[in-house]
Amino acid sequence: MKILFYLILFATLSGCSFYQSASQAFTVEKVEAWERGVLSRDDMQLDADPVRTFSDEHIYFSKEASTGGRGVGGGGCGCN
Amino acid sequence: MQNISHKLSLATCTLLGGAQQAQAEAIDNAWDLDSSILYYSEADDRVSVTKAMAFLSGDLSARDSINVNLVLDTMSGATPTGAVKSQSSSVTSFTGASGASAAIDGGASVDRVHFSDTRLGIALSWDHQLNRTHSISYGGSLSVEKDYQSYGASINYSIDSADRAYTYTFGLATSWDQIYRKTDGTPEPLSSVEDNSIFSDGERYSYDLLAGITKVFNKKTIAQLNYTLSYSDGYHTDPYKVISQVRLVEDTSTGEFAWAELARYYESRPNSRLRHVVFTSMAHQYGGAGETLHADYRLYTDDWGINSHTITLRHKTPLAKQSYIEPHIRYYQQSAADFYLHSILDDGNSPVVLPEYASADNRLAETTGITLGMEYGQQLAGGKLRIRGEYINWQHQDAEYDETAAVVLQLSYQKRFD
Repeated sequence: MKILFYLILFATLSGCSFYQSASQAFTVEKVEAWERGVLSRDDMQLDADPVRTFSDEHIYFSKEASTGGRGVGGGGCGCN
Repeated sequence: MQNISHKLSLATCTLLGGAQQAQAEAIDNAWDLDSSILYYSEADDRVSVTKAMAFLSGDLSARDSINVNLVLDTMSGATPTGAVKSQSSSVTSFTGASGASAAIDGGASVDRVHFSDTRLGIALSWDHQLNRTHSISYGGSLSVEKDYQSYGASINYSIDSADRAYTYTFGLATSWDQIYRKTDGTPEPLSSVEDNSIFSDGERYSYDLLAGITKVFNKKTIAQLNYTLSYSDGYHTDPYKVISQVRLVEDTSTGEFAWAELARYYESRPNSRLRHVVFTSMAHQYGGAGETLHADYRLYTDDWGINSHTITLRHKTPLAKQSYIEPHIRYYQQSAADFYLHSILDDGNSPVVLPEYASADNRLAETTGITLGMEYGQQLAGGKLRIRGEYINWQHQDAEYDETAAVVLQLSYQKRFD
């Protein structure tokens, strides 16, 4: 129930309009080189903010038993 | 005269051409510096960390680029050791229970210990474009603190399909870690703390193998699927963590029953770990204002019995004047390690047989974590500023410290040098 509450909270904060386009999100179409304006934006990179991602992964690595997934390499620490 | 004029025009063209070339190289040599300061603080006067970071990246040539990441962590505070809390704070009454009659241990437990440390981390990588569709990246890293050192190397290879709709990624990484306590080596696993039996430093070798595929679905959606296989061999125990042996005893003055700590041992973890991770990630832009949704899911399993699910959602909404707001939610759920124990039970009748592996580290307990965060970003004339705040709450089942709550504040500034 708790997770449901947070999901609803997140959806409310974010606005619900993205649900309308959810079905369009995974429509497969050929994308030409000159049509990649949106895809080349910084905020459309799968790792949109490497400093933030690095910081988060360090925190969660230090406090949780699971790690990894996004990539390999980068160095460890003794915090776990 | 005509000849001189021709030579002059040639020289002018050469100079102009040279200037244009220099300009082109200058664009190729654009550098990007992202600097950040992060503050992490746990409730109840537990761990606090200040993290300073500088990520520098730049093009060395049309085909080569490098990344240099520097991290300096300053950590201090108190962290749970795994021992049960002293009786005054953790008496559990079991009125009506019977069978235990041992005397209550009057000594105070060391259920948390103060620490301070500094960590320096350096990571370098060199990306090289082999041809139009193939690229390779070499990486190296080191991390040094007073009781831990880690050295790593990695290689990643990626291939774009001819139409650039797919990118296939293969990665290989290895690391060598050296683990010890600040004052000495590593304690003998499951030895009594009183015995002070100390072994030499611990070593661990880790190997990671990754295969991934990234797909462009359409002009506004991209998604990724990665599989990582990791194996590590060597010392996995935390040299500071302990586990209590407890017995239910009667307090003769009140007639109530309570758990008493009779002995304390250093924890013991297996000498190897095999992990499988499936990670999916997608980014999608929609709407008139260019809202962006990032969604990640990670499935994790290992041979310690830990299975976890992680869901992360970020939603970026552009605001006026090149600013944005981005709420963030993360849900995490993990099962307990097979050898996780709150404590070692002593029934008072038969001698206690210690298990081969045992840890009371609440990070190995069944855990649910929730993160709620908000980021605000502003494009400035010289760079990009981001400020974010997050609240993280972990609930640990069957753990002496059953809650960890923390706040994160981060300020980052990215500047491009063209």
